Amino acid sequence: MRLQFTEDEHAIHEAFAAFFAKECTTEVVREAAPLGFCRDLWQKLCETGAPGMALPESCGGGGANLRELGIVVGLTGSSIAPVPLVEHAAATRLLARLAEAGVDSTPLADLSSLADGSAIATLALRPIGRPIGPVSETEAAYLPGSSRETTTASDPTARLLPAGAVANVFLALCDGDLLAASSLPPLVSLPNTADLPVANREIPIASSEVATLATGPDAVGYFRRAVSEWQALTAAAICGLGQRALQIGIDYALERHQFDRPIGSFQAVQHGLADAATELEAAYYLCQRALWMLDAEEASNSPRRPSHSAAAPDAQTFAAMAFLFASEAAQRAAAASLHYHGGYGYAEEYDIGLYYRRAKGWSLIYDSPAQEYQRLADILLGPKTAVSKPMSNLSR
Amino acid sequence: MDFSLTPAEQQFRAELKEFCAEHVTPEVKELTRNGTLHNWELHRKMADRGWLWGAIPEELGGGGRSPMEMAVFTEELQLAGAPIDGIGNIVLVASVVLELGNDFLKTEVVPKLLNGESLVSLGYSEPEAGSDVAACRTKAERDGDEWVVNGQKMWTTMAHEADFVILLARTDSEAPKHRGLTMFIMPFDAPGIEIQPVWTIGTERTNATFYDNVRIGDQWRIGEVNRGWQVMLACLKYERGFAGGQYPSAPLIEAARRHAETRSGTENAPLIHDPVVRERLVRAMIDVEACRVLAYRTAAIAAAGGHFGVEGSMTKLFSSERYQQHCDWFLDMQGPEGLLRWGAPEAPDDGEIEENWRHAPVTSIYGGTSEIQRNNIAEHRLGLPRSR
Repeated sequence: MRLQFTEDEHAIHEAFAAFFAKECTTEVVREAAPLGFCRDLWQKLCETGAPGMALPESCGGGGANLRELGIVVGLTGSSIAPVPLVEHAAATRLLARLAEAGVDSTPLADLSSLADGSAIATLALRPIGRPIGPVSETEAAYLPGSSRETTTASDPTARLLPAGAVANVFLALCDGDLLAASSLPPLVSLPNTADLPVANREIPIASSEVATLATGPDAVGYFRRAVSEWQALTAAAICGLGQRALQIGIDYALERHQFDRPIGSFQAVQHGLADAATELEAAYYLCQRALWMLDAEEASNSPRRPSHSAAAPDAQTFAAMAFLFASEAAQRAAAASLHYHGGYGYAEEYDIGLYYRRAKGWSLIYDSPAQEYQRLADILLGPKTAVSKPMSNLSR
Repeated sequence: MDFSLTPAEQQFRAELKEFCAEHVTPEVKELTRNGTLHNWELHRKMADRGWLWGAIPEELGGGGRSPMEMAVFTEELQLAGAPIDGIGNIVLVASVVLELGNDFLKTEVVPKLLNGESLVSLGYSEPEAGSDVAACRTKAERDGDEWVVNGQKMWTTMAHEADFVILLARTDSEAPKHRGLTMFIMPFDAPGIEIQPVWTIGTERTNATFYDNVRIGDQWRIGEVNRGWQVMLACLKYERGFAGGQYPSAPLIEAARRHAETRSGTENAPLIHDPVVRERLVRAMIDVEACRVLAYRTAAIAAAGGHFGVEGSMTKLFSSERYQQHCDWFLDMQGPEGLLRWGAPEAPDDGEIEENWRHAPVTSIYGGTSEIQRNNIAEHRLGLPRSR
């Protein structure tokens, strides 16, 4: 077990920490709102190779693994960078996986222009349309995003699509099929609390702008893996966000004096910050472990079956666990940090509010956490139909 | 980063799982819960396998299990619900004696501890010295080649089963409080020691121990006179993943799950179908995974040759605070049945959750309260001013 960066990982961290410190100040973040996307920053990021770094070299990518990409993503989190790196990576890696399996998506989604970032891809996180047909009912229960969008099949829409305001290509699991759709991005986002570039995107079924990439259990399998990658990478981003939010609170607590002392010398303040720091460090290692497990799953190329075992959650289950934990840890850290700013934390002028809003938005865009806990329960405790033991007479 | 275990570590885990399945039986656990947190039979089986010697670092002449093997060791034993408090004390005291003790202590005390013959208690706390350990008032006065000890120690857990106590005493009442302390190992058969039980709201028994003109030779001293605080700090190095425990919730979750699977909830559906129960079980399982990565993190630091301080505080703080939350959730889940005391007829699952719930409060107190851990984190991780 080695829980430190390798030299290569360290070098990636140093390079991108410098990049984001220089190119993504909070002025850049503010200017990118309300669209939530800074084209200039994205182009600079493309020059570093980051958008395609975790694609196979055969697809024009950098051949990095998820842990290495996770380092860069963590830094987009700490600088709350208005770039859809996570969505783009999860979607393009799915396309690359399909390409390796012989599915050519080129007419709609050219991997080389996605690898260099000149086109942006994203992924609808919640299945669309009717419940999944070809897989069993039990299998369907394990789908991410249990609160399905209920648009009709004739007029399907990817609602609140992350990066939907800026993506050229989006992937969706629609009526059980994995589709790629290509259309001009609206470049206007639905006004939202986290200034995320979300938009509703129609899927022009039966037009030349849509291609079916996979069907049946394959479609579900590809989709599930991509959503798990999105969850683990978002968790990495959120950990970065939470750490920076905490640091802003610490810096403020050292600088702000009341009763002739820095407020950071009061135990009530210290202990709130210490709890936040503890949860964030746990979140960080959970998230690193999730990325490591997903890398291992990919390397072993093992077909995933839900394990029904609390003792050893599989990689995709672990990604969801890390995502939920990291989301809550970052939200609590940002909220605590804002609170210790007193009234100034509530003022638009202070940066902590940017973090507070994004800590909520980056995770809630996936689904209601309550739904995700229930989905995880189906995996970790077994589906609700599984219990057939006689009940005790002591029923209430 | 790489979370994989080496083949040797995996092999050790398999060995431990097999051992626990065979020897950490419900009967053994029940015997353990007579209040002493210790089971001699189980303890000696572990000693026979060389696991106590193994837990001692190699540079001190021990078996030198790696930090990661020790993490696996404490993890598997806790997951099985085996008592490890006694082993934790032994490993700590034997290691510190091997580092700083004299030849007498090395030959008189260490083999007895590591062969599974004797236990040792920790004699730091006093009625007026809890979190502020250095406020220790128990006095040791020099009389020729001997020391005469007078005072009282609190929370001397396992003293009634132990042969020794590692005892912090004041040897210079004029010096600043951290500089007038000396550490001793004291044999419990020395005349003048009285052990009184202190019963707790958990099922555990702990003790108050009284020292009335107890005379021990200078060979029982560890480290230099008035340098007892340095010995205290050395002890921290040898905590080796035992202190506090990282997985108190794991057996609790299993008990809660068993309960929910065999009871009815609303509208006669199984309780395990209740969305609140499901969410709480999942939350607790995620927390256990968080405890696991925190425990591995401290082991990885030690494996890389570092010493962990703040990281240990974080692990202890997180695991104990969440455990208390879990105990509350799952006792509430049981409703009025949950009130039935451990061992009572009709107590659900023998009252395991009830027993955990009563035990829970002590976990954020012993081994450094949550407040002490947070102080430590605030000062040493966050760079905030010392606030006490």
